[in-house]
Amino acid sequence: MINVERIQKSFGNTLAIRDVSFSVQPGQTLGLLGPNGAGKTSSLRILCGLLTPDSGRVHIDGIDVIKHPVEAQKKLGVLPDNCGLYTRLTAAENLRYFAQLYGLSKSHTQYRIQVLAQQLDMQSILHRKTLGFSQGERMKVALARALMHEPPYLILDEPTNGLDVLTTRAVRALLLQLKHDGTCLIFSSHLMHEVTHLCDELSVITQGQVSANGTPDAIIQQTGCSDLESAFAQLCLSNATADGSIINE
Amino acid sequence: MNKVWVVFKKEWLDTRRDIKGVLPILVMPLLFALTSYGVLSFVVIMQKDKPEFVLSVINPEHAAPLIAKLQAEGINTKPFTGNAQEEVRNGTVAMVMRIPDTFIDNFRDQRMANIELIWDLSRNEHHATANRVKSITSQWFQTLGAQRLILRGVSPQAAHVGQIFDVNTAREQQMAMRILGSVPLFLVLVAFIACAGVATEMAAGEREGRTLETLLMVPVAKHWLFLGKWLMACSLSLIVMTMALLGQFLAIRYAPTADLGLRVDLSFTDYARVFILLVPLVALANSLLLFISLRARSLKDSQTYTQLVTLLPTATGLYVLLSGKATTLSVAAIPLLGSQALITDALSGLSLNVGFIVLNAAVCFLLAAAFAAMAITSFKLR
Repeated sequence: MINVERIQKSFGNTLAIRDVSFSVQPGQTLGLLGPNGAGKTSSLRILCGLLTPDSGRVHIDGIDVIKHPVEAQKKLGVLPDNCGLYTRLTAAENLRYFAQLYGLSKSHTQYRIQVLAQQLDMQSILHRKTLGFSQGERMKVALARALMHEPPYLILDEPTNGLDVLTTRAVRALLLQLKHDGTCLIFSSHLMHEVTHLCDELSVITQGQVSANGTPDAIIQQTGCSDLESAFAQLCLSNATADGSIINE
Repeated sequence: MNKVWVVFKKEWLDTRRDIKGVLPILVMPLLFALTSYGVLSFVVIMQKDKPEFVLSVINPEHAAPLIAKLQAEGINTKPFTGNAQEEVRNGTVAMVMRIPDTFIDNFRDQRMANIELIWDLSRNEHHATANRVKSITSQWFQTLGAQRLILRGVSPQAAHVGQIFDVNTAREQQMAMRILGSVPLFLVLVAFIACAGVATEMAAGEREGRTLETLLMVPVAKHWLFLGKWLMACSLSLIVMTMALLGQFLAIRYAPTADLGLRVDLSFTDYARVFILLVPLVALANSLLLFISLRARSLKDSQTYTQLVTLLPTATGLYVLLSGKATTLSVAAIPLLGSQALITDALSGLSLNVGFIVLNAAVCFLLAAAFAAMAITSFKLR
């Protein structure tokens, strides 16, 4: 189980996260929904042990991420928003490098590369250097890298950002398959249809704090709107007005 | 430790494929070897092709015996008329000896009979010749003075209480190192800057290429990741260092040092000693470079700062080259300065103080550890 409690984080004088809490049970899918700059990526980075919060607690299966980040990271597969591939290495070499860092044996690494190449339809690009890959190809390699060690928790930061329709559909299908196989997914997005398709639970983050929590239907009901997009817009605007930074006309 | 090996192998693979980054590193030892060979050959050519020096003399007829003495000592003379100071200043003539019109009268009356040597002291190339002309002229004056004393029944030794002679203790190899003084500087430069580009790519390049976030998310402690990168940088530096030493060996061996009357007899042991002296410096340099690159906000920042670091060995190298002082305990305790001084001693064939070597290595390794610790704390997202 992943448990994030009342985390807060500032960068210099900027308060990026005021108060974010959420929890996910194994096998569940949680969507972090929020506008740009709401604090989604920072919250996920704290969850991955990349940033240390100013206050709050983060636990993965009882492991304190702040105190024992390396132990916690063993349980996570992460797809960052920028893919982060080594451009002078081939796709297979990128996968092999991270598999070895995760402690996979040579034979198992080779097996996983073959399985994921087939699942993500990337056999043709496997032995090409990643320099010059399209956004979709980069995304596939990064997703394969996150899945190499078969993590129980998969964290995805805007996974379909910048992808064409076909690749988006392929990624969504894979995520549904992973969900069906019992992998816990946490992903950030600002695309309503994506979260509606994939998520059991939603946390709407606006202005660095959670403004709504629950299933998509519960959130729609809570705001009195007819669809999730309107509910999301209302939550964003009401929070901005309360904060005094945006005047809702 | 297995993870260190994984990072080490990946960095080697990545660097090997970065031809643009690796090529200058591999060319550097070759360039330095060619420079050493070129400097030695140039000195020999300068010596061989030097035009015969002819001393211009105003009024040579006033001191004919002196002119005869100069010619007997191998300095040809020719009469000179014109503005001596102007022509020397313009470089038309190297130097002019002016024998004043009063010289004959003063000489005859046994008064002080002075001669002027007009030359430009800022021109280093004329110092040796001017000193030779002055020395021969002084000897001639002394001989005449002695003859006058003998005529008066006084021993010439009464006028000369004593004389100081040069007793040269420098070995031929030390003399050679005066010309090859740039070799330690080259070697330290190679040790210090060989991997500047690679370190920048391995550290700041991760940030710039946005791979740092992914790398920091793997369940491996940062110090192992750093150690893999550091070992890779050190191993490449040592390979380049070996190439540099081999290059210098070939340059010195095949350069025409014998034509200069110099003997450079460096054995495998001498080169091995230099290699050992450079190892702690390699460790320090790569820790420092990785620290700077990890602290830098961008690749460009990192490149700017590492360029400044390359000035350090140049500054200390020039100090060692120009000061020519013997290596002391305090010099040995200063990382770069001590390394360069000890390498100069090793190449000059002098025996090295083991205490100095240990002290220098200890300070280098301590500083390397300190920079590594600071680098590991900088190994994070900003």
